This record gives sequence, structure tokens and C-alpha cells, in this order.
Amino acid sequence: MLHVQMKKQLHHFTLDVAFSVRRELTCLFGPSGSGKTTILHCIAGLTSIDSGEIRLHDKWLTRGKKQLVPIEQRRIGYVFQDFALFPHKTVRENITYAMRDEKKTFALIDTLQISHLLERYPHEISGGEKQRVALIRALATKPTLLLLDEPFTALDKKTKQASIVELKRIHREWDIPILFVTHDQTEVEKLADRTIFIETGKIKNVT
Amino acid sequence: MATIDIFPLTLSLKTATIATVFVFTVAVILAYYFARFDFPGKSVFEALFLLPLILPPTVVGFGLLYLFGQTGPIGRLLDSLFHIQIVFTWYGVLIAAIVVSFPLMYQSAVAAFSQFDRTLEQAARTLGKTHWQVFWTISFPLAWPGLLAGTVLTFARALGEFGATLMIAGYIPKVTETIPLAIYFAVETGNFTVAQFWVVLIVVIGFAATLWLNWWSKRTVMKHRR
Repeated sequence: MLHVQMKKQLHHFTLDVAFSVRRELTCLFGPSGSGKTTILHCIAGLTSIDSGEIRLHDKWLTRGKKQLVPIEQRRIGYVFQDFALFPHKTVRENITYAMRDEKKTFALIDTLQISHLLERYPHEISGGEKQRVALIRALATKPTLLLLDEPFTALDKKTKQASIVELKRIHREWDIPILFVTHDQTEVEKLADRTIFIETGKIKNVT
Repeated sequence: MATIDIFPLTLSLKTATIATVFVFTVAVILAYYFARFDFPGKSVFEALFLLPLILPPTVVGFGLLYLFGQTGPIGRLLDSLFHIQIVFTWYGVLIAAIVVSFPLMYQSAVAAFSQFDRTLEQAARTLGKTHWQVFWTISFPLAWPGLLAGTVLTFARALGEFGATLMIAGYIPKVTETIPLAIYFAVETGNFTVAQFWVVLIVVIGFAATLWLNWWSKRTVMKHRR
């Protein structure tokens, strides 16, 4: 379970939120520039907070300005908006870069049907394929929490539909809390168990 | 035809190689931190690093002569601690090569570390890698084409250094006689055959290095173009 209670001064407003994520698909929903990505960055440890605390499975990650657990020890999978695949490594090298669970990872490669892409470089595969590779790469490290930043934005309508179904299945099978960010109402309706609506750094509504 | 002593070639290659290894290491470390972190006075340091590139070589040579001369602050220290003389020795040749070639490596390295998306390094951290591991597996390989271009420029600049070398090391045959100095003094003494030989050699080395670099970087960039 993830607990977040944080304050952070951004350029135009103060990000001031408190919420928890259980073993469910939780959506951070809100317009662009409302501080959603910054929240993910703070949870992953990529950005510090001004005050508050972040706890994951009863372990303090961040307390006030102090990062108690460094990024690399947090065991938090992060799928970036542009997928951040390493351009100088093949799909296989990307996925196995920090792999902990070989059996489960290669089973996932089969399920998501990217076995034929393993020797290609990221610039040689499509947006939907990149998204699947980024997802598998994050899951290969056996994370205890998965963060996804606008994972479907770069995809066309058909690919998006398929990805949503895949993500739901992965959530069931891997049984870890997933927090994903979006500004798209239809993604929320199709995917989220719970939705946290954010506007200019404040939580307006939780459903 | 007079026989040509190849001492200038071995001295120039030795100097340029050692200077390049030193400059590469220091410039890559500094450029990596300067491209990643901000701190007060950063731009002053950066201007200082690039100064040898814009100053006339004689001014750089004068500065080195002042610093490393027997009465200069660094020269006196080196003399009393290690009994090392810099002026009019090979060390002077090396220091001149290092100082004038440093800005080229530094600039190339800063550009190389700034040209790829920082999210890639962040992604590697979230996957469980430390700063050091991320540097070796992500930052360094991605910056490598730019770093290599800088290395070739650095080597060429160190090999061709003339003005500052003459100021700090002088022209002492068999001691500080690099190829550029050999060319200048061959012409001065009317020995055009010797001058021609060195001129052709240095043009060939420079041309071959640039040609190879162009070929290599095109091939590498094609491999993992985004």
C-alpha cells in the first residue's frame, strides 16, 4: 500500500495532496499541467518534496525534504510518457537491463507478443510496441508498485484499446498496486478502480 | 637528400597521446557534472575552461611561463617538492598541449552529455541502477560518438600545438622539438625538404583522422538512430 502526503512549490501553484493506493488500479486524473507527473516523480524519488511523507508497504521512502530510500532501492516500476527506451540497446537488452525474474519476464514477452522484436532497436519498432517493451522492462525488475505516466497518449485508438485490456490483465496477474496518470476521461472509465481528480495541485474529488 | 631525424614524430605522438588521455579523463568528468548540476559561479568556471581556445597561443604561453617559471607559483612549488623543471623541458611541451586542447574536449563533452534525453538516466535509476552504473551503461555509451569526435579534435590540436609550446618549452632539438616546431625552424634555416616532409605527414595524419571519424560516426549513428 502506498501513502502519499506531500507539499511542493511548483512554478504557478503549490502541489498539496494526500492519498493512498491499495492493490488496485488507481488513476491520477486531471488536465495537463496540474502536477500529476510531478507526483509520480516524487514517489519514484526523481524529485524531492518540500514537506510531507511518502510510505510504501510500511517503509518510509521520503520524509520532509529527506529521501530516505534512494531511487534505485525503491523497487518502483516507472513507465515514462515517451517510454524512455535506451536507444543504443536492443529490445532484449532493454528488457534484461535490470531483470530479476527471468521466467516471468519471458512469459510476459510471449503474452504481449513481442518475441519477434527482441533483436531490434527501439527506433525500429512502433509506438504500441515501445509501450509494451517499456511495461515489460519495468515489470522485469519485480517492482512492488507500478507507475505509468500517460501510457496510452502516444498510441492510436486501436492499439490503445488493446493496451488497456493488457494492462488490466497484468494487474490481475502481478497483483501489485498500479498508479497511472492520464488526462483522458475514456481511459479513466475503462481502466480505473479508483480515480483521484487533481486540478492545479489540489485533489478535487476521489471516486 | 638529407636524412630526416624522426625524433619530432615520436615526441609529437607521445605528447599528443598522453595529453589526450589526460584531457579526456578530466574533461569528461567535469563536463558530466557541469552538464548535470547548477551551482553558483558555474559560468565563471566555464568561461575559464574555454579561455585557451580564444586567447592567442602566445598569451596562453605567457601565462604558462608565468605560472610554471622558476619564480612562478606552480613552478617554484614543483621545483621545491619534486625538483621538476617545466620551462624548456618536455614537461613544458606536454603542459602546453594539455592546456590548449582542453577546451575542445570540454566543449565536445558538454554537448555530448546534453544531447540525449535525461529521462533515459532517470529510467535506469528507477530500474535499480546506481549513479555510477547509469553513467557506464547509459550516459557514457550515448555520449560516446560526441566524446570520440572531441578526442580526435583534442589529439589533432595537441599534435599541432606551436605558439604556447614555443613560449614555455622553446626550441631545443632532441628535447622539445615537436613536428610544428621542426617545420618552423626548418623553414627558418632554409631546409625546405625537411619542412615539406613534416608538412605532408601532419596533413596526412589530420586528414586520415577526420575521414575515419566521419565514417565511424555515420555508421554508429545509423545503428541506433532514434
